[in-house]
Amino acid sequence: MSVTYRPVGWTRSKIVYDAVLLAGVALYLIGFMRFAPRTRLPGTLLDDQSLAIRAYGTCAFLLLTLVLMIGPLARLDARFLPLLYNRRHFGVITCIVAASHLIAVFDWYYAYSPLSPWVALFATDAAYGDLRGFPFIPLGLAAFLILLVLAATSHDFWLNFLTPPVWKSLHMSIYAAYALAVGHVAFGALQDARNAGLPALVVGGSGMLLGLHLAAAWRERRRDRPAPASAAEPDWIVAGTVGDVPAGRGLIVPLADGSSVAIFREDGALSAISNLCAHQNGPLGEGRLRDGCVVCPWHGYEYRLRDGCAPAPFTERVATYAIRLDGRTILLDPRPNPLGTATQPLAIPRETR
Amino acid sequence: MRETGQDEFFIGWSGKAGPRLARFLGLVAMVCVAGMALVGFGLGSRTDDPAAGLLRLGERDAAGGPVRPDDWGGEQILRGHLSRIGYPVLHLPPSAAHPRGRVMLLSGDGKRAPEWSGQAGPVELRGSVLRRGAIEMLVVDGPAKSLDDATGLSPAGREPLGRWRIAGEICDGKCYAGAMRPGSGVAHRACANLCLIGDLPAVLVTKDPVAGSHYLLLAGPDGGAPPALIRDAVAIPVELEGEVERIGNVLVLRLDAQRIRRL
Repeated sequence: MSVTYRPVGWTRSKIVYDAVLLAGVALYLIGFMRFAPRTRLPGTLLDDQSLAIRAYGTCAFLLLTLVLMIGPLARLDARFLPLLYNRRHFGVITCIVAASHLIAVFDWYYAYSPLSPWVALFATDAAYGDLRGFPFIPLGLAAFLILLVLAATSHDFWLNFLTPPVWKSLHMSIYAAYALAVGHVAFGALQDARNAGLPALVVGGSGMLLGLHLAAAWRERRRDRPAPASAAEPDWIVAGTVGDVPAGRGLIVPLADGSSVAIFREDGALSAISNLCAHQNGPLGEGRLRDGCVVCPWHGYEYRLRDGCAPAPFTERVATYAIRLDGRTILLDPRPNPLGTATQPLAIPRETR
Repeated sequence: MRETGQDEFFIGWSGKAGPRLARFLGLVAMVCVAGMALVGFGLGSRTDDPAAGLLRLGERDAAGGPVRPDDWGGEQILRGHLSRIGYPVLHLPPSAAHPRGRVMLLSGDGKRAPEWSGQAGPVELRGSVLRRGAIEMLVVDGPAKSLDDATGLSPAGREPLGRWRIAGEICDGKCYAGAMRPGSGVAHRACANLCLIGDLPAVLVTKDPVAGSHYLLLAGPDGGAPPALIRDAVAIPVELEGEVERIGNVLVLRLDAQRIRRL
């Protein structure tokens, strides 16, 4: 959390995260370009430039696959949540590796020609009429441009400027970039693949990614069902029972409009705030209560339970909601209070605790 | 969802993680770093040999595998007759190895034809030779030095071989001869098309031998450069049709532009 914009708000966690990531990228590239060629049969003719193109390209694809795995992994196992914390640095590093691939291609395949590489990029492979030999380079270029836009807008300035819903929607285009990258490889290098390495990376990586997303969606399908309306008061919904609210954590209640509310219990009383963090729509209901504040599990943003406001000097706010008890049943008014509205925690009668 | 314990909740800016979570994250970090190193090494050691790019096509070596490009030759000075068969070529005098005469494709620097490609007649050229099996290209360095007609250097003899329909892959003669490795396959298509745009010779590398040859120089029906639409058919399996002519040790396909078919 920060009240001012800085290029990077470094923390120990981010430094360790980036160091691990850069070590992985460095070892991948060194292994690919320096050590692996020593094991190849004598007489192999692959030049260093083509080897570098393949090294950067496969590394970018692997990084893109891994960064997209973090979301569903964190949904399936909360121990992976810390990997979400610095995912934007992961994305920027992926973009830099993809840019290295593009530059290596420019410096080799598009070099030594009287035609400008930028003109050649669109003029040398334009047979769109047939899936056999479909131009794969524009697919890769489109994927890179998406990565570039996402990297350029990854800073919190753009998050606040665009607002979290718009920023989040924009950054969901990472999936379009991945689909384009798969098409780029499938219509390109895979067409002439003679061994199983590249097909295993592309088919195995994208298959695993799809499987993780389906598994996460399957796990959460029940949680995403909107809570039923109260029979006695149709404007209110049945959020659950007092016993459903775990100590120190939130009960997440899906609403019919696709949003959700998090109900917390503290000192024998219940309070309800939006489940969506004002920073990046992180799930506050999966956070923890600390000193009367809900801590977002994604980036540690904090909100007071009684009014949904971040403690000073921070200014983020989320909505609070009205709740009441019908015996042990918690009823929730799905209409949010205006931002900053303080609510009185709903005391739980001793006999219903 | 599997949960961590209450005391294990991670807050990124705090820089602290519970001991169990820290151990788990350390394990994940080690697996990721080691996994990336192994995957990089594995993919690098299994990267396709570009000489296998046309496994089904082209000449075979003594072991039955695809013929590989020779290393770049040193600088040579060659005397021959310069003419244009679709592209500028140099006709070298007949020899024991090439009794019909030896025709060498020509290239300038990079993806460009020689700057003096409009010139014709007896010349002396300086440059390096690229060779992959029977296909030979002289990468010319410097101007063409005109020679007297009295040198007796003349174009190789021509022999019409009739109309053929031939399956293969269109490549650019320079990269396929060994300038780029790989010089074939769809990943190389943009590079090959840049060479063709630069007026470097297009060749058809064939699936089956045609009159003993596994490659044909492509030309237009009138003997000029082949039509630009062949660029859409580069680096994919195609079937071409046209008149074939033997000129020295090289076959030339005078391409019928209406008879280009993707396979």
